Amino acid sequence: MVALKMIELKGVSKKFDGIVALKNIDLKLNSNGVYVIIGPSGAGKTTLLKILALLSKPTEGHIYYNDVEVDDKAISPLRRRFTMVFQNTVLFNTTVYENIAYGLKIRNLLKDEAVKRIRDVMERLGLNGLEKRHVSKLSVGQQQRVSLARALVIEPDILILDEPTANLDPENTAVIEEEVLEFSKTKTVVMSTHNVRQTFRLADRVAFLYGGLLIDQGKTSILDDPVDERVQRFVRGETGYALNHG
Amino acid sequence: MNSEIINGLIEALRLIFSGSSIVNDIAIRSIYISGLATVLAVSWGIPLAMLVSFREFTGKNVIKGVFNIGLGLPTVTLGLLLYLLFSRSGPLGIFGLLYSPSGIIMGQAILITPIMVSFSVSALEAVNPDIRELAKTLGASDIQASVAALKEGVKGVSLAVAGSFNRAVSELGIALMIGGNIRGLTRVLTTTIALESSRGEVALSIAIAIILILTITGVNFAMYLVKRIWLR
Repeated sequence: MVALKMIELKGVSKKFDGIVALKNIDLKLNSNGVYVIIGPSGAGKTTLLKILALLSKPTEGHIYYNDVEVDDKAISPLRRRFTMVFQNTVLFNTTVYENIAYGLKIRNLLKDEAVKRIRDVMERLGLNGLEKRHVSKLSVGQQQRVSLARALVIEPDILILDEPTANLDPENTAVIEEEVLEFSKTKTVVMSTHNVRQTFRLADRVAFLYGGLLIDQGKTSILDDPVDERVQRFVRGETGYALNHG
Repeated sequence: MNSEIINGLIEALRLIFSGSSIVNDIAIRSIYISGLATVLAVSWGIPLAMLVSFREFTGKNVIKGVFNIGLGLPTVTLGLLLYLLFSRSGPLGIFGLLYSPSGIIMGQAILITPIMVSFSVSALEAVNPDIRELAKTLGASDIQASVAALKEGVKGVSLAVAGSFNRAVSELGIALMIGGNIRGLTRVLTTTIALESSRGEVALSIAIAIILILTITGVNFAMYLVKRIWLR
């Protein structure tokens, strides 16, 4: 099976009850690395990620994976090739182990292989010893690490992360950023953030979203020396939370 | 009256511990009929509740309203309606459901469907809506994602199942009008209580009523144990 590498959005718009959340987005991601969607709260980052994850359909426009346009029949098999971690941690009401094992059970992975993968990912994310603990007994940071472990264990071609370190302390943020960088060496990560410093630490490419519009995209240098006034104001911390988090 | 209650309690203990075959048969028939009615209502009620809870479509609120109204449906009203449908000259007369256990099962299943659907919808709508999206992004199909959400709402849904069984086993109107209280065939705990109290056998009625309560308690405890195992 050919790995998913190329994602392209052409003219994608999304409306909710007549309100425009995204307008005419053209975006192309075509190599390994970390693609960061940055912008202030309400810019449309989560909507864009949900469209990329095929969890939400655009009102207008087209989505291509490996140059093939996504239609209704392709959605279900494609969804098994990538996964998304939500900003507000969503966990099944069960143990840490059962949460991490969910995607592997869906894929009917052999038990020995599943156990090996789960042990490996739990060790990498510092979750050893928590297998039987109910997720409600975990700290916020541990819960988000379980979310990431559950995504990584299925070894997706593309990992989509919606503000994965929002509300986390520096220690948990560091663990997650390390895993993101490790994963991006061989595969693609698309993540959203409103944190400029984090973008500089992680991003290979950046897309700046504002009010549902894709204002600029390119290397992180677009944030160093912004041309657009909206990007300048965001980087200076005037229109969002850009400099409030380290 | 006090002495009748005491006699009833003594009679109940005697009937329970003597292993009266007549009482056992009635109790087992009650559980069998209402249990099957519950299984039927689960088989169509839970998929319907999942559809109403997880899908957006025109008329959704109307469907929810109809089932909510159905919660208060008097059993004798439904019993009368089914009697007219099941009677030999009625549109469903050819199936021979009148005065048969199958007729009571169908009637009770229809009676408890609003409980099953309304309580299950309430439980499933309380589940975090992101759970289905989460399951899908981990590779689940639409059905697998809905099952994941059902599992999250299993406490509320199991309450709907228990409530439905309790309503079925304790109702009188349908069992009496559709079943006809035929000894050895359609006589259940509630119809026995009605019959014996009309005969003036108050002690025996109290005894059967206690057995009915014990039956409900026992079945609900069994459901609780199943739920514990499911959630483990």
